[in-house]
Amino acid sequence: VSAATRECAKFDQLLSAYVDHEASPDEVRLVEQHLADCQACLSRTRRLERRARGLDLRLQGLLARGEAQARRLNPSFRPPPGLLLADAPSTSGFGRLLTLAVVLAVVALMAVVLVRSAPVGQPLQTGAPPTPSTALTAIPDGPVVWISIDGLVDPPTAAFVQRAVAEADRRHAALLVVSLSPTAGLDGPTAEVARTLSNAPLQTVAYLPSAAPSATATALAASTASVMQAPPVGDTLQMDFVEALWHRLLDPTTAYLFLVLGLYAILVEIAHPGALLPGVSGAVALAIAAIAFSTLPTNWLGVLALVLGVGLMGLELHSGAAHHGLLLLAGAVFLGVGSLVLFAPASVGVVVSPFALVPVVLGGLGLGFAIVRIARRVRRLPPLTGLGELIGARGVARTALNPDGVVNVRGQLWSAHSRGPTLAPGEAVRVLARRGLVLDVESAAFRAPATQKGAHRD
Amino acid sequence: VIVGIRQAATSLPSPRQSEMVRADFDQLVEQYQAPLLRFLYGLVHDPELAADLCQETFLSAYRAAPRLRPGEVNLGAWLYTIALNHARGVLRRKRLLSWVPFVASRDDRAGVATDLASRAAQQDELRELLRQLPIEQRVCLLLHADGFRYAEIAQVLGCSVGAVKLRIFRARERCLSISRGGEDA
Repeated sequence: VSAATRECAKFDQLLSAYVDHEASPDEVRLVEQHLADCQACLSRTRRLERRARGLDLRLQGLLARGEAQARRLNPSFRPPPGLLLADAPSTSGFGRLLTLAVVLAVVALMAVVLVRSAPVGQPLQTGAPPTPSTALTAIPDGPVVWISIDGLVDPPTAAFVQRAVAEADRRHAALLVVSLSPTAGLDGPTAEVARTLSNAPLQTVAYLPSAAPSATATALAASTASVMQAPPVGDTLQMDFVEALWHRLLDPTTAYLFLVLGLYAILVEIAHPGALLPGVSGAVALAIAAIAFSTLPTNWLGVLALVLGVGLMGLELHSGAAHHGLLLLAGAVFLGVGSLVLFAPASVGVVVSPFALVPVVLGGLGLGFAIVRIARRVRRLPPLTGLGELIGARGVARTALNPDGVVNVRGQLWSAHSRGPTLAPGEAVRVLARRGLVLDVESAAFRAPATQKGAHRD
Repeated sequence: VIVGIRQAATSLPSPRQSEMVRADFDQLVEQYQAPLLRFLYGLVHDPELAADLCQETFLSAYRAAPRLRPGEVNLGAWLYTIALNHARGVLRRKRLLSWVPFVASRDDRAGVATDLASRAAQQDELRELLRQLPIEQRVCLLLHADGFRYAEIAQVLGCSVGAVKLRIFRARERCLSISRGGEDA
């Protein structure tokens, strides 16, 4: 019985082809001889045939359902008429008109922005420090406390000065020295600082480190009891962490960078949906910028210009440079203008640092043009699919080529024929020619044994 | 797809040749669209993806068509090979994306997404069976069910008829032994 079973087991594989009528004549003869003798195998064959047909039927049902579903999604493929006009411009006449209209509208909007936000003649008051309200004749005995005010005089600065005055009073300081080097001040906080200083329960003295102090500096100096060229040295009080953080975030240049970089990041997210990281960081940056701009004397038309500028740049990149970089340039102009008029003209001194402005605009422009160049070069490359360009390509033998076998070329499996000696699996090959679905290959390691190792790793 | 078509435009040799190709091409689409959709659906089990892959297959074929010499290639087998290569790419990508410990097994060679759609599809025993087969066995089984001769399947896969025999035997052995419960009904 065991010998017979083993004999029958030899037919397992043959029977599968036999029930499909795909066995060779020799195989058919062999099978039919055995079936004449072996009742068990005969019924086994009938069962296999029935079950194989059943499987085929179920598969056909599955495929037919899938085909019907797919067909509903996808009408017949037709090469679009545009294909016949080789290298046709991507925008139709209407599309070009639309682009022009959009650009014109945006330019008109920008003109309004510029006219509305043109700086009003308001000379910066610099020069000689004002005469002190009270001449300080003698330096009082007791501890001296120093604070410095720099950057923009904003709410955290006002809070800091208030805290410093209270602290100096608690320490029974005889004198509070205020080193004044602010670039500008917001109206409310500046008035608050002046009030705090003039109402201080101890003597205050202003120190102006700069030879040409800003208008805000001189205004604040006027609220102190006196101005001294070389006040006595004392303990320095500094902003605490929260005050310093807010002070940093409310810096006009920082807020500007958050806004523009946030917009760039959002652009990247739109170009590569699902990358997530650019989107999230962009949203966070924009949220921070929004907080800062709602406190700063923002010219919202300037913000709009920035958004439009980045949007135009994105449009150019998205269209694959269909507008020959014109939108990119327009976007950069908007970006530059928006940066210049970002803050209300009445608030003198609240400006974006040119050290941030110039790199942002030129960097965006340069990066944009680089991407456009790459996009154009990629478009001129031959397509990576199809057959013609396989000649010369390198690949790896997936099976032995003796002389026929299978190779992997550009991630695709091809049957191949080795023109040279037999090749082992894993050996690097080079495509010499294509005959139908078969590639003629030779060993790529043949001429340069040194590269063999690298090719094996592929 | 639109960008793809636009890019394809730059690779065409001349309008006149394109028109010539196009007349034949419509016929080709007419003839092979349905079977290719069936084949691709059998490989990826996602009608939408199958439709996309079918488009890509025809697009690739269209781009390569001007370079084909008549009579040199069995067009049907050639199209199926292109379709198979596209499907392989997608399955490979899916497998990379769906690197989830509890699904990863040696048998999962065909690569399957573990997204909601395929999880829902796992209810379908037949699809699950197919999914567990190596892709070559799957191709053999699908094409055989769709009426291909072994020799034709061998041409698509670029293997010998003997290999097709073996693969169909193995695939059947597996499907029929696993689905013993429902198959006779």
